[in-house]
Amino acid sequence: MHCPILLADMNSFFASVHQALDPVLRGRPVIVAGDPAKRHGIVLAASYEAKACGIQTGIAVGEARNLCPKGVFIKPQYSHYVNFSTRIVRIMKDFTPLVEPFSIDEAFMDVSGCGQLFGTSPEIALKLKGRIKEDVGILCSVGVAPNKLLAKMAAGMQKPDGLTVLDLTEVPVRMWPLPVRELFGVGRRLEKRLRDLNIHTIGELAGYPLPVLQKRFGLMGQVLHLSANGIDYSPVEPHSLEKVKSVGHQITLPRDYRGYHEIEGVILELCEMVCRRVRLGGYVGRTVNLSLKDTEFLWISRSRTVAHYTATATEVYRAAVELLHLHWPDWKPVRMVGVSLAGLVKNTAEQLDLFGEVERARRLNAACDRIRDRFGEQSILRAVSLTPSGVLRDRDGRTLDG
Amino acid sequence: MANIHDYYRKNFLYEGHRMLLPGLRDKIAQACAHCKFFVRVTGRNETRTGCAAQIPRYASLTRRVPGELDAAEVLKLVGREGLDRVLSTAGPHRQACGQFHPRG
Repeated sequence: MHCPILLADMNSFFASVHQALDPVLRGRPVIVAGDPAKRHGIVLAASYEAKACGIQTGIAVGEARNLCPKGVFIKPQYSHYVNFSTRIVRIMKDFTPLVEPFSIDEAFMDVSGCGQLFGTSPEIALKLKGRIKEDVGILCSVGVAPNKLLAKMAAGMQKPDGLTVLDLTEVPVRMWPLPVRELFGVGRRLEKRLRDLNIHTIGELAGYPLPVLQKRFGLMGQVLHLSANGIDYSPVEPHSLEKVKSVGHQITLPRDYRGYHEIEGVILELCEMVCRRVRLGGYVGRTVNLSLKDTEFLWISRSRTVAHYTATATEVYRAAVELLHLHWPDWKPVRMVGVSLAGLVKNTAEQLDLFGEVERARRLNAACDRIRDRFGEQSILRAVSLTPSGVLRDRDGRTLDG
Repeated sequence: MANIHDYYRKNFLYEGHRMLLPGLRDKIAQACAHCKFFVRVTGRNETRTGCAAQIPRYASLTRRVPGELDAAEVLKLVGREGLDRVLSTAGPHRQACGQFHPRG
């Protein structure tokens, strides 16, 4: 069978990036984890040497230290991961323009029509693995299959440094005995609902009567039935990242913030970050969304649509603060806060006002953007970032002088 | 959702599960031609395009990246191998790399 779809999945990506950057770390148990003092104390990634000690993604840093006392703990450095990820996608695009990044460490490729240039799909997969290892210094597992779903399943079957070809005819043997949770698209809640129907394996899902699944899950029931049988019609969509629907940022606060005066400062900082990215993409948006989580991990998300399209932080801030005052009592502590701007359209026209406020804000934004373009994102900050409640100042572990 | 065909055609199975870091989306959707470091390098006989991020003086962004660089000046700054690197790492339609910086 023709297997033109590849999924390349980088092995222990965050940890591998640090090992590639610093040769001293190679062969050592590297654990990428947040700072417990800032309440980001969970393991984000672990190298295979650390995984051998029982370290798993998501466990607490304290537990990881007990399991692996010799582990090298590193704080996440997202700019490095983005850098490596773009380099990897660039290598993939040397083989085919049909590349769809799926996450920071995974991307689909459609190599139909590349046979004359690079050989069969497994040969291309081998060449790709070699290029990534040689140029970037990272190992990856590649799944080769006739569709995206099977490629995704195949890539997870052999780690690290695997190459798995999964044909449709092999689905009953290699996929059906797996627990239903292993099927792409089935999460914890869906697994529980499937268990209520006495479905425990992918094979049982594949053999379950379609009308019952449809009645229970609607359209998703049909998708589940097809997926369990190894069928997926989704195309590899190289332009999927160009369609931006919303831009948002959220942050877990270093301590519980109490009172509007503290939380409003963080909201302003987040609005600044969101609007900067919206402007970079050349967009303006109308729907402001505010998410808040309390100390009991209960969260709310509220949105409102403003009168005009905007990419100005103060306008987004005004709407976000209105939402805060409307839906969150002053006394309630906040653990996490997020702001996003949705309803984005390309910034082709602008609604001006009588007194030139919009024009003034536009010129101010443009000046700030020019400074950030030239000297970096932290080169110009709101004064609120310098107050004790400010969170932007030491993001990425950097601080400004003075 | 209208029907199963739309579900697959619009890539919903994957759109709903996609997880990306903010900076990645901004860079992956771009090409070298939109990057501040993408410059013309003029030699005696020909003009080619190159990546100024390969030159430490410009990569740090402390100096303004000019639109055009003289090949002799690049040679002086980073040597022969450096010039090769500058010329080989950029192309107008190539996927932007990790050092992508939007043009002001």
